[in-house]
Amino acid sequence: MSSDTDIYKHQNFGNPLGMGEKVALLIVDFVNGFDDADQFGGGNVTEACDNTVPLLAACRDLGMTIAHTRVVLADDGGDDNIMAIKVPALKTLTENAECSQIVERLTPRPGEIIVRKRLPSAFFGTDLAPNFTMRRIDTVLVTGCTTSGCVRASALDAMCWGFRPIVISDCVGDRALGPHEANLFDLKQKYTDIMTRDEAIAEMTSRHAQAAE
Amino acid sequence: MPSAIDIYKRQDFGRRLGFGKQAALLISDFVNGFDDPEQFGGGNIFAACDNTVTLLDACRSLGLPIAHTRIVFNADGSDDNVFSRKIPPLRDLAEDAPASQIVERLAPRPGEIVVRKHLPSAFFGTDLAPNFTLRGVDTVLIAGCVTSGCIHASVLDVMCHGFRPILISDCVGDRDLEAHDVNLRVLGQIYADVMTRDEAIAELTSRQAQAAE
Repeated sequence: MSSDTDIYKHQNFGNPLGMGEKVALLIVDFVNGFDDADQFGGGNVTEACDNTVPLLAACRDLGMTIAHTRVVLADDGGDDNIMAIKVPALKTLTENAECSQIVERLTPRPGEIIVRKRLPSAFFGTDLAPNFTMRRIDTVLVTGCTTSGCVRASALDAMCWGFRPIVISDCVGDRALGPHEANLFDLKQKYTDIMTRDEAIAEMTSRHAQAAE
Repeated sequence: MPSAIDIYKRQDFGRRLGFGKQAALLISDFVNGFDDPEQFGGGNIFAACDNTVTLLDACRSLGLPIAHTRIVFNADGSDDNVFSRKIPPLRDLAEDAPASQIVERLAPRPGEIVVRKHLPSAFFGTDLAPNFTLRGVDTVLIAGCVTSGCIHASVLDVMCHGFRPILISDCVGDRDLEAHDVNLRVLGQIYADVMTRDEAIAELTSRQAQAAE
């Protein structure tokens, strides 16, 4: 009997995309509310958030384009949508609410892109794709939470917009570990490369060194 | 009394964008129906189409990505939209209709992008932006028709998607010459650079020669 992976291999899915010439880091929804198991967090979300701190530092050192996302809904419910009907607690993520602020250990620096979004994907209804295009980005490292929700939607859209997505396996987290693993598997077979944080840092550092030669 | 251009200058509009690293050529709707004054053509469209032959040759020689657009509606009316209600003859531009075929003197070659669209912009509801992004495009030369319709819309969306639009003044045409002039003038001030065909070819050629050194 063949395994699940065998059929993807047989049908020639899951080919590596590799890194292009200019890589950006996308950090999806690492905000206080998702860092808290009593609000939107739990599972391995906090650990993934911790793991992203050295990745962000490395990407800053390499001078990469960095984008952070927050889910932000209007205080008055004026931009209520289907997702907010499905998950009403999202309506607490208003502009000034504590839970919608980016976690302190990943605080954006001036010049980094902050995308406010109302839906899972960082690209849906936002100008993130044109921002990346204008900066000649061709590859997007995807981190954040949750793997089965906003990370998956953002990785899918990164691919649909013509960027190569690389999901950083230990920098994405989900409140439920089954969906986390299953979604990493799907993403690897259909849409993205998967690397660990340290693999990604090593590859970017070595490319940077080669370019400087 | 100040001229129309003076007010743009006083308000600091109309800065030059310049070329990026990788230009593409977008040819909008130079199909038989727009080459014919009895259908959708007239004014200076035919002349603009003729002028584009040399531009297309030059862009091919320089190896630029090239995209052509066609308006195509289903013969059964199933994709009728507001635009086709406003201009019902658009519904005649069915897949196999002679009117919707790209003019013979600009026939696409294998490997060139052909975008079928239902609306003025080459980007609305199409995957042209991701296609350009994947090819590393950052600058889009625009030729085609009509200046006040699909060209205006496509120039706007080129800019909104993060590419630098360069409108080729003698390779865009309109059935209404007054509308042509007004749109060229305004687009040059608010969204795009405007160059003649020969200026654009000279700059592309000189940049490629420099890059080869």
